[in-house]
Order: sequence, then structure tokens, then C-alpha cells
Amino acid sequence: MEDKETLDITISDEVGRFAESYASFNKVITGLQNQYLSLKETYTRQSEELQAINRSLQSLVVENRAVTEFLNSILNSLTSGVMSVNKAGMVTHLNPAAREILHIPEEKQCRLGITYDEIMQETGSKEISAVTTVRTGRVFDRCEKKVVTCSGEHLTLSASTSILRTAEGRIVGAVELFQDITGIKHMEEQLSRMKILASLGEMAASIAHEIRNPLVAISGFATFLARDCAGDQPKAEMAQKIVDGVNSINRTIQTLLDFARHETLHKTRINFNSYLDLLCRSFASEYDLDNADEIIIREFSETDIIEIEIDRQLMRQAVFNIIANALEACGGEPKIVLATALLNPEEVDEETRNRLDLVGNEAVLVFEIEDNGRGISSEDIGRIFSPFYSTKDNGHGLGLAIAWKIIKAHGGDIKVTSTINQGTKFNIVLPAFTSISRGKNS
Amino acid sequence: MDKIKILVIDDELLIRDLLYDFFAEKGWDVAVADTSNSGLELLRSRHFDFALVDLKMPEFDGIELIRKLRAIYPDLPIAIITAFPSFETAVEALRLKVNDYFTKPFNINHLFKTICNIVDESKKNRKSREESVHTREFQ
Repeated sequence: MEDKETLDITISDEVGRFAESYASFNKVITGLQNQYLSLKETYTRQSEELQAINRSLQSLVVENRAVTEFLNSILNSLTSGVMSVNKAGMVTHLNPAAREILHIPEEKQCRLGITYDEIMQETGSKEISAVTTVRTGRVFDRCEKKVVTCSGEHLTLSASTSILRTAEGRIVGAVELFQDITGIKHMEEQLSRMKILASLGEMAASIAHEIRNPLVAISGFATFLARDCAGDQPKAEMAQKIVDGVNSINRTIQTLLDFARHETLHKTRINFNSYLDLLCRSFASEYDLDNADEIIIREFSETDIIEIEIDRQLMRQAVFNIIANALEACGGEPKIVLATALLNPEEVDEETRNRLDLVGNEAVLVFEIEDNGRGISSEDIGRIFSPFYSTKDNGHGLGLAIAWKIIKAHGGDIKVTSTINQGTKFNIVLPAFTSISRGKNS
Repeated sequence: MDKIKILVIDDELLIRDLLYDFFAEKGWDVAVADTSNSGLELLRSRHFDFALVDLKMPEFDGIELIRKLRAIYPDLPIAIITAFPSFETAVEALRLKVNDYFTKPFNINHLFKTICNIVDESKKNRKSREESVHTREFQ
């Protein structure tokens, strides 16, 4: 009996504990269930929030892409070149206009780590560049600079720079905006030369009159003196020197008058190559060149026919002036190369077309005179065709100006490129006749 | 032989002085005028063998002066001296039968020799004309 009682007690205890356990289990389950529900609720809420964030992010991305595309399309459609550099002077961005203006070849465009100097070399010493801006903080506003492009072309650019900063204001680089104003500069120079010419024309008559009258008196009275000093050789020589001086002044006046005169062209149709061949021989005898064939190299054949209409006398003067100028610029072993080429209408490029102001279907004579002389600095090169501009002690500064005027009067153009200590090249273009029997001559 | 009578018409004092001294020393009879009008007056009042005329002058220019002159003396030997030669004035000078055209600065000895030749030639022509036409009176 006692045992049964003990068993009963034991069983009831266990049931009690089980019930307790069950109750607490239930409690835990309920708690878990509650937690699950609240978690689920939180999840739903957060997922909704995330979705909202996602949506706004996505619209931001779209917006950003639109802005980038918009900015890029502006950059791409700009006719001005835009280039950005980082603090190390490496190019970080180039727009298509910049590539086009600077003639940057394909392989350089794709390559990363290209330096500023590789694609744009300033020939002056002004250092107007994005690199200067990023290094010194100095910005430029529409400053003119002369540069050499990758293809070796000389350009005049108008450049502006500004500093690139992050939102926090940290300097990360600089951007340069530039336009090619070579054509405008060329026209400005031509215009100023034309203006000088016009005012020279007005001046010439009165100058001639005012100077030549006293010259007559000086040389006339000097003739008196020479006669009176006939027995005294040194004095007679001095009097003769007065006359020589007067003659020299008069030659300068004559050159000025020739220059200022409005030329009427007396054109004849000739084969330029054989004409040039004659000119070379005539130049050699006039300038007393013994080894003319070694100095003046003719890279053309006189039998090649380039037909052109010119005033033979005036063109002779123009060509003589340029060759004489080249010869004076050369040192010990002068070498002047003359080359001619005929461009048929379909071969005439846009630039040449613009230089000549061609309207119809004309052919073009390209005539180049290249020397191995001391070269012309980039500062001087724009002025060499201006009247009275001379770097020589004894020059009157009209030789090249006259040549320019004559070429222009023939409807042509003359352009010069030069490298210091290497030489100078005059590139002349003139309207010519289309070659009919090209097959035979080329 | 008679002294050569020459008239110099130039507005430039230096030229007048030079040419006066030079021709006077050669023993010529020299007259000078500083304007076209005074030159024309002199020509109307006296006989000259030769006239040296500048082109650019106040009042009226050398070409105009020669035109007026030719109306009175169709055969007077004339030379132009000018500091500003031009094709147009040279052609006009030819039409007006001007004997020579000098540009300043000229060589004075060359000028002298040329004038001597022109005057000689003109005198010879006159003489032969007078001999062939006895009745003709020379102006």
C-alpha cells in the first residue's frame, strides 16, 4: 500500500512537472510566434522601405545617366576643344573637337596615360596650359598661344583654363577649352597688310616728291664739288660718295614706289616648270652663284607640264625675292629645294580651296621653296610678309612683302613654316589649268 | 653762237638754285619760275630756246602748263623733270610732243648733254625750215 502511494505521488508529480513544462513550452511557442510575427512585420516594413530606396536610387541612376549623357553630348558637339588633365599632367578627357583640332592619331586616343605635352606643344614661352593651371593655380582667359600638333602642324589657339575641384574643394586637375584661330589670325594679318599697303600707296607719291627734290640738289651740287676737286683725288672721291649715297636712297624710294603701286598684271599662259628652270639659271647668273646646281636643287622636271597664267616679270620678282631671302638665311652649306606639283580639281583639299578662294573647278599649283637656313622664330613668322619688317641689318623689309603682294595679285596664297636651326619652307599655291594629258606626265 | 636761253619752272627752291647755278656756269641765259603761272608769263614775254618743267606744282600742274604752252609755241623744245613718274603722264607728255622726260634724282651732266642735243637739233630744224620757206616768219 505504501508502495502504491509512493507510485501515485511520483506519477502525480511527474504529470505536474509535465504540465508545467508544457505550459512553459506553450509560453515559449507563443513568444516565438509573437516574435515571428513581429519579425515578419519588420521585414515587410523594411523590405518596403528598401524597395522605396531602390526605386529612388534607380531614378537617381537614370537621372545621373541622363545628365552624363547630356554633358557628354554637349562636350561632343562642341566645336571648341575640351581637355582635362589631372595633377600629374596626364590627360583625363578629350572631346572629339580637341582630337580633331590637334590631329591626335587613333592609337594615342585609345591609350591611357597620355601626357599633355604629347598632344600639344606650345612653341612660345608663355606656358598657357591646363598643366600650368593645375600646378600654379593661375587661370587663363582666352589667351592666344601657338602650338605644334601631333602631325607637326603649327596652329594658333585661343585657350581658357579653369581648375577642377571635388565637392569638398580639393583640386583634382584642370580643364582647358580651346579654339583654333589660325584662320582668323591669318585673315587678320592679311587685312593689316592690306591696310598698310593702302596707306603706303597714299604716302608714296608725297614721299617721292619730298625726298627726291632735295636728292636732286644734293647730287647736283656734289657733282659741282667733284668737278672742282678734280685735281684732288681724295676730295673728288668724297664728292662721288655723296652721289653714291643719293643713288642708294633713291633705290630705296624706288622699291617703296614699286611696292605701293597698284600692279596691273600682264598675264601669259606658260608651263611653270620650264619657266622656273629659266628663273633658276637667271638667278644663278644675277647672284653670281658658281655652284648653283648644288645650292638650288630642282625637284621637278621641266618637261612636266603645269600650265598657269602669270605675269612673268612680276612672278620673277616674287620668286627671286624668296630665293634671295632663303639664301641669306643659309649658313656655310646653303641648300634650297624647289618643288612643284599640280593638284587636279578632285585632289584639292578643303584647306587649299579656302586659301585660294576657289569657286569653280580649278586645278592648283603647289610650289614649295625650302631652305636649310637658321629658321624663323614663331614670334617673327607672322610678320615676315609685313612691309618694313626685317631681321637683317641691311634689309629694307620689302622683299618678302613684295613677293606676298605679287602672289596675292595672282589669286594665290603663300604660307610659311619654319624650325629654328633647321630651315624654312615657303608653300605657295596658285590657280592653275587642269592637266589634260596627265597620264603622260605623272 | 647765241647764248642758249633756258627757262626752269619748278616750285622747289633747291632745284631752281641748282639748275640756275649749273646752267649759268655753262654760260647759258637762265630764267627761273616758281609757279606755273609765273612761268607762263615769262614765256609770253620773252623768247626761250628750252623749257624745263616740273610736273607737280601748285596752281596747275606741268602737263596743264605744257598744254597751254603748246597753243602758243608748238615747236618749243620742252623736257619734264618729275619726282613721281607715271605711265599716264609719260603718255600725255608724248602726245604734247615733249622732247624728254627726266625722273628726279637725275644725273645733271646727263640732263645737260640731252638738252644740248635737243637744242642743237631744234636749231638745225628751224634753220632748214627757214631756208626752204624764205617767206615764212618765225614766231
